[in-house]
This record gives sequence, structure tokens and C-alpha cells, in this order.
Amino acid sequence: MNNMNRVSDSVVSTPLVPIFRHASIFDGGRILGAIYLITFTVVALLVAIPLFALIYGSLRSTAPGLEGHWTFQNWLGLFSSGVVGTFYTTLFIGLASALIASIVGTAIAIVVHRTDFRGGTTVTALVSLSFFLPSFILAMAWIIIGSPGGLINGVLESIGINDWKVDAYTKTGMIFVTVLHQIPFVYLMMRGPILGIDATFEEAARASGATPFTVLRRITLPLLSFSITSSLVLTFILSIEQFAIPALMGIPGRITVLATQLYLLVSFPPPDYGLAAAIGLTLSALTGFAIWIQRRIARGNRLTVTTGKAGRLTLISLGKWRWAANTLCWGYILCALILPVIILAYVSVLKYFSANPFEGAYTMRNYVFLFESSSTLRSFWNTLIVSGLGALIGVGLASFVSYFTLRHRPPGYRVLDFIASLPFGVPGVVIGLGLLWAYAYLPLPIYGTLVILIISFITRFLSYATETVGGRMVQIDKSLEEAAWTAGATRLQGIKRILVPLAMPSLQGAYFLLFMAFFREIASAVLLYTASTSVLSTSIWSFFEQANWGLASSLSLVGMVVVFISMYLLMLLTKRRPSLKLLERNKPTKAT
Amino acid sequence: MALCGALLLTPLTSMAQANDWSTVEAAARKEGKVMLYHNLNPAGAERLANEFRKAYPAIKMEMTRLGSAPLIQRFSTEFSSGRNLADVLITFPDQRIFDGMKAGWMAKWLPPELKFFPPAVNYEGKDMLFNIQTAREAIIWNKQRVKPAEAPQEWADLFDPKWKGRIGMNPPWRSVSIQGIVAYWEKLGLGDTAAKLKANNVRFFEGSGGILQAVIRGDVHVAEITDLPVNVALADGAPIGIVYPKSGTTLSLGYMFVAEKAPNINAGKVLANWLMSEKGQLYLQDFAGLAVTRNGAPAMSHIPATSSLPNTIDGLELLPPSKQKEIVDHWRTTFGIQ
Amino acid sequence: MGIRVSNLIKAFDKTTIVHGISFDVADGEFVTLLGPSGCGKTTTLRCIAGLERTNGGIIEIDGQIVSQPEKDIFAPPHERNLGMVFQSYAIWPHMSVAENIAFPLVARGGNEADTKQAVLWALEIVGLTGLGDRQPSELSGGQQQRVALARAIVGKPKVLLFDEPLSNLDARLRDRTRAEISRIQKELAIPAVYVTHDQAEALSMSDRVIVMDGGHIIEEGEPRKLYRRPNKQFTAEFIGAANFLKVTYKDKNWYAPDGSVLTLEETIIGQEGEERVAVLRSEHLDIRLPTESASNSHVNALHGTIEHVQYMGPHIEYAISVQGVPMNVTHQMDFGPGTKILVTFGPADIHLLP
Repeated sequence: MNNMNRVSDSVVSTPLVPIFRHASIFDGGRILGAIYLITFTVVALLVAIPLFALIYGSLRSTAPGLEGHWTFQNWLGLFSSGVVGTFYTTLFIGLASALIASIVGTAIAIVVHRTDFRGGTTVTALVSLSFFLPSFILAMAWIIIGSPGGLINGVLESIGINDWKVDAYTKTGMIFVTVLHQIPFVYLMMRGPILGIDATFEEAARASGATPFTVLRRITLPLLSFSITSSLVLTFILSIEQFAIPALMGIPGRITVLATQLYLLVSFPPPDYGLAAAIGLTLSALTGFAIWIQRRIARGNRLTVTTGKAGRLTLISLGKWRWAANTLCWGYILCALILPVIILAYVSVLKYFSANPFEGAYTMRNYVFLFESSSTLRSFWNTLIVSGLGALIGVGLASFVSYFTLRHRPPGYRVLDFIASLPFGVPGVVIGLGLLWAYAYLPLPIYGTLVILIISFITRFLSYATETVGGRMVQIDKSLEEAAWTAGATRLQGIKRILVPLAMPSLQGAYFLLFMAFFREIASAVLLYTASTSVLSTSIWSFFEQANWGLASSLSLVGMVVVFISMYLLMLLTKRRPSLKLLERNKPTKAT
Repeated sequence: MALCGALLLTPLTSMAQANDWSTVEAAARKEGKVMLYHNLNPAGAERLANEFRKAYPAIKMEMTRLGSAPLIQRFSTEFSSGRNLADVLITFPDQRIFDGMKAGWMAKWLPPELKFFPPAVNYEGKDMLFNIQTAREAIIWNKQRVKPAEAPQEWADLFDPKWKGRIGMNPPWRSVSIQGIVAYWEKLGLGDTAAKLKANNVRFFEGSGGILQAVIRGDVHVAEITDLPVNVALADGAPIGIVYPKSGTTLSLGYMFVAEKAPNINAGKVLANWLMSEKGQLYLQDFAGLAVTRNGAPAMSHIPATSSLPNTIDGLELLPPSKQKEIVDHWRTTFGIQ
Repeated sequence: MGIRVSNLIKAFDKTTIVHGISFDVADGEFVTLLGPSGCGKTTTLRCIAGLERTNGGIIEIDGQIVSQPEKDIFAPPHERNLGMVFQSYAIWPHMSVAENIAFPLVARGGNEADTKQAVLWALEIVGLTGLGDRQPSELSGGQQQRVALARAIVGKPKVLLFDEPLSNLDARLRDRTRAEISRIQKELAIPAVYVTHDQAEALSMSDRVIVMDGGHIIEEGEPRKLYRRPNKQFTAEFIGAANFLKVTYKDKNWYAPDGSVLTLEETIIGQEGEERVAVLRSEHLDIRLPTESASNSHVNALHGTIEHVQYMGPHIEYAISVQGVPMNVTHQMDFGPGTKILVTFGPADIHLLP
């Protein structure tokens, strides 16, 4: 064979024209192609159905199913003074909360991870715990503390200060509680970048003679500016999506934001579905726009300051500022976690509220009720199904989406990526509304079942899971899969034997994330649940609606205990993890 | 005329009904479950359910609780889309209920217990819609914050500037009962009550339960309230004072019907009938805190019976649909909700 | 039967990376694709592996056509019976050493007993006997490389492919492993294609080297011939350190730029006035002071001035300007910069490029 030294002569070459071939979705095998098609269809339906239902509804004059005609009236209604005012209120509260939460959250993260603060691990653990505290519990606690008849005013009165009063039913009150609720999110987001800063940047500054505070001010913070801005935008989105806090604190103070306005329009007569749909779409456009901004920022962040080399970062010594740092961190924990839980416990054992614990009429009937109430027990069961099973389906779907958009990339993957990321910006109550319409009229017998709740939650949170799983998927070096293929494995075998085991930690992480998110979620369920499909969050919500805070508190406490125990058990089951050091190796430069 | 006819027919039909009824009960047991849509207070409703279970162990009772307006809305939505989940509905009605009557929402039947009720409870004698409870509008205040001398006595007291920022109520767009009392205020010649309350910085709360909570907590000192949750609170010892103004008050008649397209129609009838029985009415009153309409029912423990109140009028009589819309729109505009 | 590549074209979007190259690898032969970054060698390897689809040309492995876009033929990697060693080793961290090695057999559905046997055999060949139960994270870089090798050979593949496997190892380990790979390949007599930018690897391991640049094959041949008698300037430059001199043919002789006559090993006849490029290897050149007597063997001498001196330890590197042309010479003896010297070499040390 070697006799013919066939060497192409680069000078005298026949013009060889490359043949281009359209990639096919079945390039990786028939089964994989089929899975891709199914995933694509499911995600497209999940997202498209509520969205189109809303668009359709915003152009109709009556509730769906009733005789009506096409109209732009609803969109014109957006410009009415009421809606415009609500719009500004929403923006104001959203921006203020986002700003304050970002500053305080980042401050806490810096204090814990970059200074010689003591008790950092405890603070981290407690802040993470506060992340899971549902927002309406925070709202309830702070209403009790800060309302006109609340504890603060009670104390002020008793020491003789009658002029200065606190009122939780104000924009300030709402911003305060929203900030408390968002800080864990900011903290968890900023933790990574702060820990990942390349030590050499700061060391260079120190070598040039800068004091630690100067380093912080002129090196660290500017390096983090991308991440801070990114978290600012995301927090803004979460703030304007809030439902429970504005519902509990805003309505009595006659402060309406878009999310509650939508709820009111739909829940009370005369219902204005059309206007609600228009508002819902506007709200989604607002959040969608914010996400687009955040993505641009995040892309710029690719010139990343984190090199993955966890160098030893010099800790700033707090010195005389220690008291400030302690106040900040422990003060936050007190306000966001400890006080609310104590108040919950207190309220749950009262017959009716009294500000003075010594004058209270105590009872255990709120707990007794829970265990005797068949509907509450069913709520627990439903919650376990919806969260447990729903999170599983959600993670599965998210894994497929991540795989197809990040690794395999068959034709059309960009569209899939776009569609899957759409619902992130859509507020829960808007999704609920869209689904309420769509499925009440589609010939699918899922209305009034747990299925519609699962669909609603998955639609809402799919992108969270996709981000979590995807973050890990891009880290797994391509050569690990290619080695499997050249060793004789089909793509599917490669996924099963190589990709899945290596991605397992992030799959587990995504599962926990979804589980807790589903458990906390109220906004997208409040319009969809019925008696038999009530979950914990909606049961607690309906107790709130009845202003039966005793039951709301007892159920909240019991619910949280149950959930945390389940989570702990799940974590124990998944202790074994493969050693993943080899994944963190520096990737060699690719030479051709 | 219809009344006489009903009275005459009752003894004759009761015999026939007794036989039919056991058939219905048997069928109900076979169906095994019943779904109640209601606007009663949920803790009370749970206890009600427990009692029903004792009476009919074979029938599992499920409930959906919403405020009267959203409750009717949900039923309406479900009905028009052909999804029939509810068997029995209990709510304060508005025009939609009466329209629904014509549209075929309700089953036409005669509960055996009906004979123990005044004839008026059978709405227009049509054997579809039955008034089993009544709520009344009242004024409450926090006894710890308001001295007896200052306590409000009349509706006009609500607009007194001394309660500025300390007064609460349920907004009219949330409840037909509130629309009723607003219409009554108009009738009493109290003027633009929306504007007056806005000037007094009224706070809105979710439902009568929310108002009660707010008053007990001291967030507001005085409030207008539909008296559903009051009896239970008073029985618990809550420091609440209550008055039904002498100038009169509106009643919200709580109606019940069995859905025509109910998935478990026999169980629905059994439940409805049980709620009208002596025991059922007692439980309704004790647990749900609403004055019941059965003949000879005992008065509630802490608040007066409807019959002893002066100048009562069914709120709905003051509320033709145009009036409803007018009130809701006016209040919505005044308070800047769309 | 080896590998046969004919007119392989690979393009990404509008840019053509590989411009229709052809070469063979005979049964048992070790062929290296050598070239600078971006020359297309790794792309070519990946096309042979099936990790990239080609845009033209035929690839045959063991007599079977595995890729021919003209006829829409494409066999995916797992059908090509390959053994491939990656630059990053690509050892799976969640499996033990034995499981890693066994994978090709397990993936193709072998029975347990045979698989165990084969794994033990592979471990022995690469010298890792007894380490089967270890986790990859417990192994050194060199050991991981050998696991990758074991995995590549365990299934008795038709073809071995290497993608710069030694670039992550330190120098000493590289030398050792180079020898290992060479030995194993010869022992198993599997045709191998090896990609590298390191000419030392290419020269020491290969039966044949294919030099590539810019998506074209520049030259191919046995290592000795490519080193001593390259046909292209690129080859001469890329392999080993080369000096170039322009020589002119006049009156039946070849002349250096300074006019001195050059004595060549064999008579090369050119055209009157023809200019050619001559290659001189640094290690073949000698330096002497003009006053010293000439040695018999180094009859050719060029005048030059030492520009720069670098002490390297085992030798000294001199940058010399010879009649305006820069040259590099390595020598043992000390000369100071600025010294006028003669650069001398024998007839066998100068090679004219065609």
C-alpha cells in the first residue's frame, strides 16, 4: 500500500469543491432524535399554550368561552390612570427593593467571605435557610410587628412616644419585607464570584501599598461590578413578580402593584379577564426586557475574573468595624428568620391575637385541627406528590433541554433554548392566569387535577433547573464523551454511562432547587387550585385569606418541619458522589 | 298564591318523598363523595364536615372555599366550559346566581327538611334556591382601644374624622354584601360614602375575617363588617364590641343549591338536606357563625337573632345589576383601582 | 489493510481547513502528522475518527469506506473499531481504572470472562498490572496516560489514533512514554496515526512523517530523509534547526554569495545563473579562526562575523552573520562576539533544495 507515495501537490491542485450537507436531527441516532423531537414539542407546548391563551384573551371583550368580539379595549385600558399608577408603583417598589437588597446582600457576602468575620459558616447556613422561608410568612410576621396595632407601636406607646408611629401597610413596609426576602438570593448569587476572584489581582494592589479597605473599594468591587449588576437585575425581576407580600401588605394600605392588580381583576366581580391578560403580558414584557439586559451583562462577564484557582485570598481585618458587621449579619438573620419563626409559633397558639403575651388566650386547637382535618392531610400528600414527582419530571425535562442546547446541538437547538428560557420572566400569577384559560377550554381533562399544578410549576421553574444542570454540563469536557464514542459507544450509551454519572451532582442540586421552589410557590397556584388539589402553600394562603392566622401559622410551621425532614432524608440517600477532581484540570489549548 | 299551593301540597308530597328519599340516600352512598363550594369560614366548615361524616360515613365530603364573588365566578366559568365539579353551592348571591337559575345551573327538587322552614326561604318558590343562613352588616370596634363612651352607634359615625386612619372595611368590589350596605347608606341619605371614607383613610382588608383580625390586632379601631365571623370570636373571648345601628342594616341571605349537572347529584341532595336538618342548622350556626333560617332555631350565643334587629332589609333588593355596577365602578374610581 | 485517505476536504462554514489531501497508512505502520498549530492535522485525525463529518473525499479503514460525502456515506465513530488516545487522556473519573479500560468491550457487548481477561492483558502491556481497582484521581499523569493507552488497545482495534497525547506530560515523562507507545504499537502491529507539533516525537517514533501546513501536505517521507534531504524549505525549517544559503550556478560550479566555490557531495547540474536555496544544519557547521589551518573534511568555508553568543551549557550557540545572511552554529569552543571567523562544513553537510 505504501508504494504509491500519493501526496497532494498543493501548487497544482484540481479545484476540489467542498460538499455541504444539512445536519439532520437524527444524526446522533434514531432514538436520540426522537427524544429531541419530544422534548422540543413538550417545551414548546408548555410555554406556548399559556402565552397564546393570554394574547388571545387580551384581545377579546369577554371571558373566554363566552360570546364576545375582538377588541383593543383591553390594551387601551392599560393607559387608564389606575393602571399607569400601578405601573409606577410596581417599578418604584421593584427598583428600591432590588437596589437595597443588592447592596445589603453583597455587603453580607463580602463581610462573611472576605473579612475575618467570625461565625461565617453559621451565617451562610442560616441565610440559606431563610431562602426557603415563604414570603407570606415574612409578610405576616412583619405585619404583626409593624402594623399600626402592632408590636413596635405597642412598645412605643408604652414608653410614652405617641407621635412617631410605624405602619407596615406602606410602600416602605413592603420594600422592607421584600428586601428581607431577596437578600438570600443576592447573597447566594454573589458568593461564587466573591470567592472566585483571582487572588493575584488583590495581591498586586496590596504590593503597591493599598490598605485592605482601599483594595476592596478600588479593586474588588469594580471586579464584581458585572455580577452585582446582574444580580440587581434579577432581583428586580423577582421583586416585581412578588405576589404574597403586596397582597398581604399592600392591599390594606391601598397600594396596588401589577401582580396583585391582576389577581384582583380576575378574582372579584366584575372580572376583567381581558384587561388582566393585557396587564399580564405587559408585566411579562417588563421582566423579559430586564432579563435581556441581564443576559447582555452576563455575556460581558465572560471575560471572567474568576480563574477557578482558589488562591488564598487575604482577609480584611474588621477591627473597630466588627460591631457593624455583626449588626449587619446577625441583624439580618434576626429580622428574616428568627423573629418570623418566633412570631409564627406565638400566633399559632393563640385563640385570637393579643400583643401582650401575658394576656393571651392560649390554645392548641390550631395544631389539633391540622391533624384532624382530612383536607389538610390531603394537602400534605398533594404537596409531596406535586413537589416530589413534579421536581423529578422537571429535572428530567431540564436535563434533556440542557443536553440538546449545550452539547448535542441538533438543528433548531437555538429555538429550543429561546423557548425554554421564556417563562423565566413571566410572573407566576400570569402563568396561572394563562393556564386557567387555556386548560379550562382545551379538551384535556386536567383542569382541577394535580396535573395542572405540576404543569404550572414546571413551566414556571424550568429555566431555573436548566441553568443549574446546564452550568455543570458545559464543564464536562467534550473529550470525555468523544472517548466513549471512539471506544464503541453510541451517543445514547455515552449519555447514560458517562454524562449522567458525571452530571449527577447538579441533577441532584436541580432536584432540590425545584422541590423547594414548588413547595414555596403560591402565585401560580392560587388561581388554579381546587379543594382536592390544594397543596400546602395554597392551604396556608386560604387560611390567610380567611384571616385565620392561627391556622396559617400552625400549618406553616408544621409544613416547614415536614419539608425540611424530607429534604434531609433525601440528602442522606444521595451521599455517594464520584471524585470529580479530574474534571477541574486545566484544559489544554486546542491545537489543530 | 304559590305559598298556599306549597303549603297544601306539603302533607301529600311528604309521604311520597319519604319513599323517594331513601332511594336518593342509597344512591348517594353509592356515589360515595360530594363536593361543596362554599363561602363559610373554613375552620368551621371542617367541623361541619366532620359532623356530616358521622351522619353519613359512606359519603366523603370535599370542599372548596372562596369569597362569595369569586366562588360564583368559578362555578360560572366551570359551568360554561362544561366542567362540572361542584355538587352543592352555598354563597351570598348576586345577579349571576339568578341568571344562572334560568340558565340551568340548579337542580329542581324538594328537600324533605324544607317543611320546617318559612316559605320565604324557597326563592320565588322555584324549588331550586334555598336561603339557609343570613348574615347582617354591623359595626365593630376594639374594646381595648375604644372607650365605651366613644363607641360608634350609627353608620354616620364611620365618617367621623376622629377615626381617621383607624377605620377598616371590606371593599364593595369584593363582596355583594358590602354593595348592599353601600346602597343602603345611599338610601339613608348619607351622601358620597366612598369619598367620605377615602377622606377618612379607610383601610381595606381581605374579607370579614381580615377585618376582624385587623380590629383585634388594633390595626384599625373601628370597622364595618359582615358579621359572619363575629360570634365565634366573641365566644373565644375576643375584646370586640358590636352594634347593629338602629337606622337599620342589610341582610345577606346565604343561599344554597344543588347543581343540575352535579357529578354526584344524589350525594349533593343528601348533603343539602342534612344542612337543613335540625342538627345541620345547629352546626351551621355554631361552627360557621351565621344565623340560620330554620323555624325555631336557637339564637346565637353572643349576637342577637335577625328577628330582633330593627329595620332589616335584604341587601339584594337594593341592588339591581345597574346599581351594582354603578357602586363598584364609583368606588373603584374613587380609590384608584382601575 | 490500513487506512487510505483520498482528497479529504474539511470546511467549517465558509472556511476550508483541509484542502483535499491524500495519504495512506499501511498495516502496522506508524505515521505522524506533523505541523504547526492550525495546519489541519488534528482536524484530519478527527475526520478519520469520525468525530467530524468531512466535506469531500474518501476515508477507508481496513478496506471499508467509512466516509464519502459524495455518496452520503458516513459511519459514526462507534462503528469504526478505533482506539483513540486524547490529549487530555479523557479518563472517566467516576469509573475505576479497570472499568475505564473495559469500556470498549462492555460497550460492544462482550461477555464478562473475556472482558476480564482482556483488561488484565491490556494492563500488563502498558505496565499497570495490579492497579485495576484504583480510581483515576489516585494516579499520576503518566499513569493516566497509560490507562488511556490500555483502553485504546484493549479492543484490538483496526486503527490507533493519537491526538498530541504527550503535551501534558513533563519532559522526562514524555521521553519515557514516547518509547512505550512506540514499543506497544510495534508489538501489536496496528496501523497508527499520530498527531503532534513536536518534531522530536515525530522523528523518533514514526515510520513515516507527513508534514502539513495550512491544510495541505507539504512533504512526506521517512524521518531520516526528511531531516537530511528535505525537498521543501518549510520541512527544513520545521524539522531541526536550519540555516539557508542562496547559492548560484556558474561555470559548472555552485557559488556561495561571497563568491567562494562550494564542494558538494554529488554533482548537481543546474542552469547557468540558476539560484537555489541550500540547507545547512547548525550542528554540522564548524567554526575556526581564519588563521587556523583548514581541516581536510571541511573544505567549504564562509567568512562571517560573530554577532551574538549564548552559553547553553552542553554547547554554545553562535549567531553569525555570513555575508549578510544570519546563521546559527553550535560549538563547544569559546569565541568572543565580533570575532571574524570562518564557518566550515563538509560536502555532505550541504543540501540543495530542489
